[in-house]
Amino acid sequence: MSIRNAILGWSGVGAITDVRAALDIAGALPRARHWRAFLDRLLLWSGAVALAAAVVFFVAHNWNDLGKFAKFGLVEALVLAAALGYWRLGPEKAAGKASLLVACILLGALLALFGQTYQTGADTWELFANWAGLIVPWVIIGRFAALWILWLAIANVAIVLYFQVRPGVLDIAFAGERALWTLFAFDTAALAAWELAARRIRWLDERWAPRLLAIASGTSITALALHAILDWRDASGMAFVFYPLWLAGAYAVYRRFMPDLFVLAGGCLSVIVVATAFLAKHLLRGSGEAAAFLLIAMAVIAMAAVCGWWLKQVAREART
Amino acid sequence: MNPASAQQLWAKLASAGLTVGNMPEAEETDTPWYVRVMLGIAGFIAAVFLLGFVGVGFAFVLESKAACLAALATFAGSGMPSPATVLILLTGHYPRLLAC
Repeated sequence: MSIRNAILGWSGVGAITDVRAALDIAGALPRARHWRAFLDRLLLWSGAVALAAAVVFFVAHNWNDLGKFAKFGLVEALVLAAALGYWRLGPEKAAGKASLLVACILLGALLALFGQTYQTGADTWELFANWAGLIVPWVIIGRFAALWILWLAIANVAIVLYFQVRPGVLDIAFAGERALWTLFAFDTAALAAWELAARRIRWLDERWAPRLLAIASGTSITALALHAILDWRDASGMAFVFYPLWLAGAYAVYRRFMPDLFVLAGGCLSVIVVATAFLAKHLLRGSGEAAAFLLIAMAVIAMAAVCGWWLKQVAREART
Repeated sequence: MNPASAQQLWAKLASAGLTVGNMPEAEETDTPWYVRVMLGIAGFIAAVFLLGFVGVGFAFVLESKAACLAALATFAGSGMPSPATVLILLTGHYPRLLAC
């Protein structure tokens, strides 16, 4: 609970005479300095991302009017300018990090431009794989959590596209399952590496990034579990082994070692979805369908209530 | 915010003369947004199954002319749509309303 909510709560029960003055004294109201810092960051990051996107749209819109050299020159000059900007502004400043982010995005645009101009016959996944591979040095020297997330996102796209192009010989229909397993393995490994590294490296210690990875890892294993439940004849059934393992691992790590209510809430949702799919698969058939619908609805409500109660307990425990 | 820092904040406000009485007991704190999102999605899933229950369980209303007429009558009589009329409207069985 923030200072602001505490004061508003007290004011709600009539224990505070002047809320505005109280918020002011407690430092919960933003001052001019805070506003300036906020606007500074907002404009920097939205400007950087909009600039990178604008280059892509500019080239795409003027595709026929720009010569080959003009297009390459424009994008390459901007990549160079962004890299120079990083060098000039220094690695510690936010503006320097923004420059490096722009350079990384523009490099992808340059690769796409290359692929479009000289139809190399490469698959789309190769573009993303090359992009991820080429920006590795920048990502490593950048020491910047958002840049790593960008890199992981590009790698994820490359994995998905790879399995769209090359479904295995035997499982053309179920290329989705192999892609999901690969994504699950990749994102779970990334999550574990991130959590371990964040204990030593200060700039990695931002909760939003591992939470994003936990969403990616949890979504893929949940999808695999759903796949195993709903298509049990064609699915490999490995999810029946790995899904409980993943749940147990998430519980052990995020309940015991580093409490994180966000991941626990995600795990609860995953359990609800999987349990609902299981009930629906086995109850919704033949006669008595209406009763089954009602039963499942009640079961979902009951599970959600239990989860909500449990998460509240955990939150209260973490506070004291 | 843990109890100690809440106590500190209260003392700060009290010294500025902004408080009335003693510090209120820590009430039920607000739930984080992600827990509410989780509950919202679960509620959405439950609602889908409840709709399924109504759709399957009251299918006879859609099948039978008498029930359909009764639904229409309650709708006309009360000015409020009855569950059966809502069902007919929701499931897009408009012709049945006309066929009554």
